[in-house]
Amino acid sequence: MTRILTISSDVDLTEQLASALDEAGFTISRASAGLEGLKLLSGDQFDLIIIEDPLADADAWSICRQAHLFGNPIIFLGTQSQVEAWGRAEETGFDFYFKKPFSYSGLIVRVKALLRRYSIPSRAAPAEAEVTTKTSQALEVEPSPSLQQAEESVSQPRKPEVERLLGAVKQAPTLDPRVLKLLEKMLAGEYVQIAPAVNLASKIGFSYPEVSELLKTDEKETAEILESLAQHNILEKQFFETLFSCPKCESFQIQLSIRCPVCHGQHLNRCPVLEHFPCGHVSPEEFFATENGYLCPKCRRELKAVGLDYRNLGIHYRCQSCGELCSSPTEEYHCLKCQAYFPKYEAREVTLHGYKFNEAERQRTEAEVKRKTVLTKCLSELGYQVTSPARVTGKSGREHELDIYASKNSGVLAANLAIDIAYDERGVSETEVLKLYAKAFDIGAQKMILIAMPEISSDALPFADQYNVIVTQAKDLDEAAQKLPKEVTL
Amino acid sequence: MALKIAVIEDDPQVREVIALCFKLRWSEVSVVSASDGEKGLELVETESPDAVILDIGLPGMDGFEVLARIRRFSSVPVIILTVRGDEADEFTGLELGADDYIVKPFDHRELMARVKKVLSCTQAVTYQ
Repeated sequence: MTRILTISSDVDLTEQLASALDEAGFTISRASAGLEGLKLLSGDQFDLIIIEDPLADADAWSICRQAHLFGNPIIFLGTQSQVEAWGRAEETGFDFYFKKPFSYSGLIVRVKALLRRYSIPSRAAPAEAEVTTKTSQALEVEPSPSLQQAEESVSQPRKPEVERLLGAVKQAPTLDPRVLKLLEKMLAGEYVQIAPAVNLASKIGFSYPEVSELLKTDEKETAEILESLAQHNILEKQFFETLFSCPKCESFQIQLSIRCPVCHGQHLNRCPVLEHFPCGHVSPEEFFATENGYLCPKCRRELKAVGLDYRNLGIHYRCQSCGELCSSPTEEYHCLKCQAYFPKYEAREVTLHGYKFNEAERQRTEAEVKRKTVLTKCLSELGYQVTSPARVTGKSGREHELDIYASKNSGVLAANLAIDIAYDERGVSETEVLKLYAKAFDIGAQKMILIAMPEISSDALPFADQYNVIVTQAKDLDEAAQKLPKEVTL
Repeated sequence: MALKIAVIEDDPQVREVIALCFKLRWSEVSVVSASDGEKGLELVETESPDAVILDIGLPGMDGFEVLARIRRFSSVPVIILTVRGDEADEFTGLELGADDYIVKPFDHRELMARVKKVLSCTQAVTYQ
């Protein structure tokens, strides 16, 4: 079920929006003010957000900017001209702008187009902020000057455009703790071959169940992780199978349907067909058959022997509507989900791959996997009990995943640390700071340490200051392990 | 890394304006163009652009047909740029798989912003 959050202080417009979206089959959640919207966003998952300007409690553009950090597509409804509004698209992060008044049917079409744009696997947006309870609590606080400053700094273009546009946050795949777990198993020879399982009911048509189970990821995330590892030459990719799906709704639940090439009727039956040489008559075998053998229904002569006076033309299709016999009926697909019919050549193609460990890169991969243990070892030597990766349940009841969770009780003092490792060659963004802060707050960690590799972006620094997140900048984990003791000493 | 935009547009002046617009406002983008649908399809296949700007009123095969054919082999972002401002045309374009639909005359800044927006959720990574 696709979930849409509307953030609007206009009661009538909200009602109309909800009604139009509901009619189109979407599930709606409503927020009547900006902060309420952000709170809902931080506590729940949505597929798309609609924000209407003006809002009762906050600047709608500012809310848009913050909502953008959650990574959902955003439609902004405003009163500015298209040119003026689009001039702010980059800074505020909306995906489409409607100038009021607008048509609801137009809005629905745009909603669908945007959801499609974001759902195409090859266009998957990078994983953005993990949404946690504390993010919303942070937002409830009166924005301090430094927070405002941080917020404003988000709006500034931070990188050359091309790099920014193409530079989805490229976390080195082996730094993801979940992936480390997979790689450890592959290095140990527990997983030799990862084969896809066709699952036509799923959104992408296939899954890697064993890997999803291990990584606790859905099928799309799993496929992306495996693809990313293949791109880094850690895994080798092998062709497995091609699947076809509906070009309209992208469902894989399609079936081949045949039609009569003459009358386009769908009621066709397969039958063996005979040809009688003397009179040239061609008919289904059943029309020749009698109790005493074959008799030509046209010339009424008895058929003697196959190859002598008749032959078997093989299996044909007979149209029950017009009687036409054909060997190749028109073939098309029928989508069982949206009921569309379409020719075979219009079907979407998805190539499935299997993956296996790239033995040629074993040494390099082993080195990368082992590097992380350097950090945990360093913390253990300082007397901490270390879990990595860690799943810690917060006060909200929600389970959070941390790269490292370390705790220590020295008798008088106790300390617990929440540590995340983030990698972005363009500088680690404020999103990572906020993610760590939210998780650490919820689990009651005393210290939050973000290991930013190779460095933290200038935009993210004010956020780190504001939320007391300690940032350790390091070009690699060895350097981080050298710097860490200073930050974690009781 | 340079971006490549394919423009499929029969009006040479519009092609020139779009190319100039990118040259002045976004010089990292290289623009390749075609004047009709057949050539445009060939262009998309051979050049593998990062996005396509597509006119509807093309000689021979119209833009909708071009779009439908592009979608048979590619998920490249397509932005329709046309004089046809009817909502029905816009719906058709978006339903056929266009990522955006802009009605001429267009503002350069708006075009740039919308191209960037479409590209911002695009990555050249596929399952294939």
